[in-house]
Amino acid sequence: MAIQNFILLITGILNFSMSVFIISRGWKNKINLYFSLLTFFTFLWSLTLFISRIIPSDLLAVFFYRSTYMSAVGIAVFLLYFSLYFPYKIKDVSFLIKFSIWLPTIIIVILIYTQWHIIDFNRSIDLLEWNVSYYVPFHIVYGLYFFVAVISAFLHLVYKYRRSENIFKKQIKVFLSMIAISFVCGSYFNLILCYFGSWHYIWLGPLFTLLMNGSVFYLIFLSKDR
Amino acid sequence: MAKKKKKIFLLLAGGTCLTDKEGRIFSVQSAQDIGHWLKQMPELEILSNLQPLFISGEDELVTAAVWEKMVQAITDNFMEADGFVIVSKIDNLLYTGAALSFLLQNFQKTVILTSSQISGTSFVDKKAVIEELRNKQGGLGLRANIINALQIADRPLPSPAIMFGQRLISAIKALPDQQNQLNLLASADGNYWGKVDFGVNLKSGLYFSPHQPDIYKKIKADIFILEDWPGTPWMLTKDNLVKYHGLFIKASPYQPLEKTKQGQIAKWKLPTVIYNRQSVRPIKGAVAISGCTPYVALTKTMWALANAGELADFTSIMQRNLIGEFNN
Repeated sequence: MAIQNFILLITGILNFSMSVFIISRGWKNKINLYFSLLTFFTFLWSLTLFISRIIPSDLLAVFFYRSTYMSAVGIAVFLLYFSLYFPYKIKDVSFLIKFSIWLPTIIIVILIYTQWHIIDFNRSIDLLEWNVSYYVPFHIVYGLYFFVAVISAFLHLVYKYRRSENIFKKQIKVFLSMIAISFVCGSYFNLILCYFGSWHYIWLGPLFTLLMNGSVFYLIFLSKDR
Repeated sequence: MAKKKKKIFLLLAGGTCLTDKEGRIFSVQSAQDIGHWLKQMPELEILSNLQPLFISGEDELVTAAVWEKMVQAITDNFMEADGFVIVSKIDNLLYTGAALSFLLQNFQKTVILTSSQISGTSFVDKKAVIEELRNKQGGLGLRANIINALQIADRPLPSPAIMFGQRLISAIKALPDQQNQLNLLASADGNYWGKVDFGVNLKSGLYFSPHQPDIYKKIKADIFILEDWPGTPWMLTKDNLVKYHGLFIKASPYQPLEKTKQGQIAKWKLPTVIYNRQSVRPIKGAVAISGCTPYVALTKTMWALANAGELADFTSIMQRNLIGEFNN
């Protein structure tokens, strides 16, 4: 197995372990619930990307590759929800807010699996060289949706950071800095480079989600009080 | 339909100091200050349906009468409340927590105490500390402490607890932690009911007591407290103690009281407790207790004396592990 695929597999396993660990701390706690869902989708992202890179059938490979985009939608949505509750709730999530989050999400997820998203998908015999043709308008809408969700989440966390004191300030600082690196690198390797026709580094994006997990691991096990 | 918010009663009895971004300090001196004070923490209204109740002002002393007022406010609102959060002065938060633990035994609603790191509005002498806290921690800690307390105020806890910094501690186990700038309190037995790490993480297996609630509304403050130094005589007569209902002696460990002092205790015929956290030698005419915090020992004495009519004899009540106050 190529080292890149092995890294993807390990990343997926670590993300899944984190998801299970966090939910085992109590799913009724919204922080645990949404972070667990967030890491579950980072796990799906790694897994679907891994499968799309190793599976011989192009038909199945394109399905799994489309699923990486679906996983990224899950990551953005649950990061947004998580940002509303971590480390404490700052907004009542009304029906209108839920509607404005979930309606575009459902539409985008459906469109991901249609010709509106990927028009053509080819790989070389050794499966390493990819050539994917996107329907550009949808790709732009997808990118906008993703960045709006992620930036909203960042704004929530920055707002809380500015208002917070002692333990909350430290927690948000640690989490925010790690998640910023994860999203900048993840988006660069798996969204922006792909848009410009380079798939060489798509195995790198999921790796950066481990920084996000690392920050939570630090808060739980290594923060000063322990 | 929107989910109904939990109704939490916020009792204010000092310990209310907080700062805004400009460094202005807000506190609750009277009931009229509550609205303006709450405006500094808009997130509290999002977390719960908050019902503030004024008990005493920032500069008032937190006395036994204030504890009785707290119990009255809590019992009056028992049916309506999903939980209670008490903000009180840090300098006697440990006494307040221990006193409420004896007054509200087997209580079927959660009571959480918390505080600002600064108590009282004589800020001139605290200027350096306030500046340091603002620079290092971004504030006086109250906002974070109340937010954490509110998040778990509707979860079942066996008895009153203190939420401070990253720790949730049973009020009967809490002690000062001199080593830690953020977590000013620690648990005497190292057992914490919750930690603030990634959200507030409560220990599993915490429930309300299965026993019938025992609510007491009286606690006596007129107890003479004496710190004994071996070799130093007590220059006291029975006349000096005539206004007191009990005597609480902090003794040194392992060493018995001198014979003359034992004779004085026998002569005074007051209910007497002799206490040391590690160990204490029993003597005739006094109840010897150890293995609990000094805050618990004193407030239990105050409670037992105030409710003598309702309780079994003083000695057996003081020595019985009623609410888990003694370390095993």
